[in-house]
Amino acid sequence: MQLLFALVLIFVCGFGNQVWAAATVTLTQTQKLTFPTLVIPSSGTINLTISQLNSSTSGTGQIIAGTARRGAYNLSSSGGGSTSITISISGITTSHAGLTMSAFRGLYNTTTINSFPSTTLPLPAKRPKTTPLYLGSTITANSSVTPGLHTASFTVTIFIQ
Amino acid sequence: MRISKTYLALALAVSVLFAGQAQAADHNVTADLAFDAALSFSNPVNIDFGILRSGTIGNYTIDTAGTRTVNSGEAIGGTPNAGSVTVSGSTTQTVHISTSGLGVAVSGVTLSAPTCNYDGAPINCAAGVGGLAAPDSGTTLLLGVTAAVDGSQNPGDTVSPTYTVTVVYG
Repeated sequence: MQLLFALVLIFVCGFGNQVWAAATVTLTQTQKLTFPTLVIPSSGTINLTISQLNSSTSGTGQIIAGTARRGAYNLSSSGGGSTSITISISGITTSHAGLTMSAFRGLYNTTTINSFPSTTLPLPAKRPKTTPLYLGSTITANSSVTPGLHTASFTVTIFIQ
Repeated sequence: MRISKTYLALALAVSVLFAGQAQAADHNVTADLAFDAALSFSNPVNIDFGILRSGTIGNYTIDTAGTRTVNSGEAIGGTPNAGSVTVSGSTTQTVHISTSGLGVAVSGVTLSAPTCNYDGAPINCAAGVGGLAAPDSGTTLLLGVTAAVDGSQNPGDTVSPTYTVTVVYG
C-alpha cells in the first residue's frame, strides 16, 4: 500500500507536470535572410550587416545589386503548462571558407534581441495565431571569395520552459 | 494509513526529477549571400586632337573612331586619336556609364559634347546610360569629345583639359 501511494505521488507530482509542460513551438520561415550582391574585396575583408529591425544595411561592403532582407519567421505554440521560451542560434556554417556569418540579432514580437541566447521570452501565440521573429546578421568576406551565389546555414533552437 | 518516510522521500525525489522538464526544438535555417568581381580599368589612352593652329579661335571634334573634324579654326598636323579604356569585372552584372566635369575652361580650352562607344556600339554617355553589357574579362570603351579653343594659346603650348567618365554597376 505504501509503495502504491508512492507510485501515485510520483505520477501526480512528476508526470502530472509533464502533461502540463507538453507545449510545443513551431517555426515557419516567411522570408529568407538575404544579403544583396557585394563586390569581392581586392584585399583585406569587407562586412555587411542587415538590421533585424528593418532590413537596413551598414558596413564596408559595396552593394552591386539586389535588396537586403532580414529573416522573418512565424512562431506558434500549442499545448500548455509552459511559461516561457529561450531562443538560441548555433551551428553557423557558410559555403565558402572566405565567408563568415556572425552577430545575430533578433526582434521577437516587440522585444529587441541584441545577442543570443535570449531567455525568458514569452511563449508565442497559440495556433493558428503566430508571433513574428526577425533575424539580422553580419557577414564578413575576404578576397578569396568567388563570384556567384553562396549560402549560410544555422540552427535556431527554441527551448520551452 | 501510515506512510513510510522512505517511500515518501523516494516519491518526492522522483517527482522533482521529472517535474519542470524543458523541451527544445531545433530549426535549420539558411541565408543567401552573393558576390561579384569589382570593376577595374586598364590600358587608358587619352584623347588627342593633334596639332592645332595657335592664336586662332576654333572648334574641333574627335569622334570615337579617332576622326578629327575641324568645325572652325585650323588643324596643322599631328596624329589625332580617340580616348579609350578597357573595362573589366562581372560576367553577369550590367554597367552604367556617364560623364561629368565638362564645360570648364582650362587655359582657354573648353570641352563639351562627350561621345562614347561601348562594346562596339555608340551610347549616350552624356546623358548617362545603364543596363549595358557586363564587362567580363575586358570590354573596350572608346571616347570622343569637342574642344572649343579661344585662341589664347601660344606656339608650343600643350593644353590638357580633363573630364570624368564614370562606370558603375547598374
